[in-house]
Amino acid sequence: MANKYAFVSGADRGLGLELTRLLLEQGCFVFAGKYIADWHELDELRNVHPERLVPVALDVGDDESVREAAAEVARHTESLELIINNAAILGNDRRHSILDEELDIDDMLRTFNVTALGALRVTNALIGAVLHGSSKLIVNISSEAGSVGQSWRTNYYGYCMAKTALNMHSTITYNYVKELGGHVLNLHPGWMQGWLGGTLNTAADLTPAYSAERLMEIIGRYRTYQTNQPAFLDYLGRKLAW
Amino acid sequence: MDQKYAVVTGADRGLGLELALGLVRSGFTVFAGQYLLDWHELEEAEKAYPGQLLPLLLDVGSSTGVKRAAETVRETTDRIDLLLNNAAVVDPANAGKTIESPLDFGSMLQTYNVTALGALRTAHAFMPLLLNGSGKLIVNISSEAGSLSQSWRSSGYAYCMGKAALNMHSTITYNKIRDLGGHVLNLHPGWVQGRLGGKLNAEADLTPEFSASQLLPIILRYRTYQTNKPAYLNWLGQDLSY
Repeated sequence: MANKYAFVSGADRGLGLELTRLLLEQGCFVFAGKYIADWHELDELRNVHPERLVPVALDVGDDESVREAAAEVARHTESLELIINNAAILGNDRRHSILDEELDIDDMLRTFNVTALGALRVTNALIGAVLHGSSKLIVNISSEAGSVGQSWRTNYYGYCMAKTALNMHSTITYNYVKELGGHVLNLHPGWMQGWLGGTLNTAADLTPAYSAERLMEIIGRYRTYQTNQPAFLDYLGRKLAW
Repeated sequence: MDQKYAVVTGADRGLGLELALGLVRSGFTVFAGQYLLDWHELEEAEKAYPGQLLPLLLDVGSSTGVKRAAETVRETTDRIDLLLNNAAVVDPANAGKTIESPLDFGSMLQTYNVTALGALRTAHAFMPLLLNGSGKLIVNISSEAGSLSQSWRSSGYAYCMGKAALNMHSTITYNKIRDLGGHVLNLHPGWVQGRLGGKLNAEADLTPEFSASQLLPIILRYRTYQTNKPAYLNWLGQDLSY
């Protein structure tokens, strides 16, 4: 991956930061999406790789922000080897079920705007650069929460719908780019000790660093997973049902 | 025998109106969701079925509007037996647009707000009435466009995401209401000559009358289709895969 350019959204902390770190260690040049004010882990990483880490202001929920980030990429390169659409939000209302009066359905539109449309905005803005590269690889950080076939929850409506919508748009994109040699991977990173809910989730199974290592192995082998549909896999490479 | 009540959304014309009429002829009193105030087919139809076909102002894109509609229904009855979520919009602003085209994300948000969230708003607002009834049935007019495993398109992002998210939320709802005797059916009506995009698509395969005539027996036989997941069927009663 040396002398290759990659783009990672939601790279301030957690999984996005760890994926950025591993890409840099592989010798990549990384555009890292920066969203959270007053969080400095990405700046610290930049001190380790000053030449090859370019933090880019990025709110994937905002058309203009995504356009400006793409313009920043274009100032450096015409080709991207890899996009990792990682930025997401859980939504404010997770707890409530269909029986709870307080179920906040309008909040789900905001969750969709970031967690589903965010990835589509970024892919749409950078598709020219991706198709110019040799790998032509789009990776979406999805979730088992988006699997309709394995749906077991009675709440988390906003997040589940958004991840299903993310999976859906990835199939439409893949139907188009596969004719041009493009690849799409949807990856479930496992239940991580991350910041998705706004505060650190210490109860979860996996560290972001562990998950990122497993995911990078799969990303490195992306060609082995491609069929007539985008692959939908977990961090151990196991297939998930749509 | 107790009077049966149904709520049908998007009943101004097309498939929604035909389903509402079919239910009236099957003995239901139908609250017919009215959104297009300049379209008069529903008012005309009401003359043939006074007291049985009841127009109900209903914008499924509005949380307060949907709550108000539920309160209006509650003035007439303390229970309903069937909620038929038909109202949807396609996304004319992005017609034919692929991942390489400039995409209108504002229009996608509006499409999702109606086509995915509309059916969730009504399920939530009408759930107490529905659980009081004997049918306890939610029917969602979905689409093959929402099937991830059979996704074949390279455009139509918002409609496909909307229908996929509709399928997803229906499974979360079903997970909760199944043990209370609730049922959920997701139906693909076929390619219907309707006005989903605003203008009549006369080249489509099926008339709304024909599609409704095929869907109604499936709806009335709903108990035969229930498993551990909401059934996802087409107008011929054939299984679709999520």
